[in-house]
Amino acid sequence: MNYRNENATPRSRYEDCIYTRSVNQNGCRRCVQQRATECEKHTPIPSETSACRGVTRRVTPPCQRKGKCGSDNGYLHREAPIAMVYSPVQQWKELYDPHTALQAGTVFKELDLPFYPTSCKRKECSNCQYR
Amino acid sequence: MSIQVTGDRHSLLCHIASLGLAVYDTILYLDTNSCPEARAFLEKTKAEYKEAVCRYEEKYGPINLCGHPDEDIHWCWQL
Repeated sequence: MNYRNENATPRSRYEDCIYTRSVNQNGCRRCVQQRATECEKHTPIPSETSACRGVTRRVTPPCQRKGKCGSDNGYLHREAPIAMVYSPVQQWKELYDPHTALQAGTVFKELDLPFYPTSCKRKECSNCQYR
Repeated sequence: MSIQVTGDRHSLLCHIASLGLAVYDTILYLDTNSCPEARAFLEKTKAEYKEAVCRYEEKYGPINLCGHPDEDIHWCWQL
C-alpha cells in the first residue's frame, strides 16, 4: 500500500504526476523535471520556473491542440481524479442576540467566520479591486 | 452587544431590522433541519417582530404596503 499516495489530496496526486521536485544546492525546492503532460499524443512542454529565490513559480504548460483533447480549459488533466466534498450538519447552538446578529450578518455564532479578500491571480482580473 | 430600544424612530427601525434578520435566518435553518428549539425560537422572535412593527406603525405610520390597517388614516392629497 502506498501510504503517501493514499493520504494525498487529488490535486497533489495529480501534480506529483506532472512535476518531480527536488532540492537544489542552495536548498531551494523547485521543479527540475517534467513528466507527462496533457494527453499522451502531445509533445510535453517544459515548465518554467522563476529565479531561485526561495519561491517556486510554476507556469502551466499549455496544450498545443486546443479544443481537441478537452484539456485546454484550465490545466486539469482530463483523467484527473474526481473529488468528494462534504459538509457537517449545522447544529442549533450559540445564537447571537438580534442586534449583534445584524452586525455579524447571521444569528448563528458558528457561521460568523472571518473572510479576508485575497488578490486574484487570474490575468483577466487585472482591474479587479481585490488585486 | 445589545442596543437599548428607545421610542425614537431610528432605534425602532434598527430593532425591527434585527428581529427580521433573526426570523429570516431561523427560517433558513429550519429549511434543512427539524428542531423543536429552533421552531420555538422562531415563534418567539416572530411575535417580537410583529410587536415591534406595531409599535413603529402606531407612532410613525405604515412600514410597508400592507402595514397599518387603520382605515381612518388616509393620505392627504392636498399640496
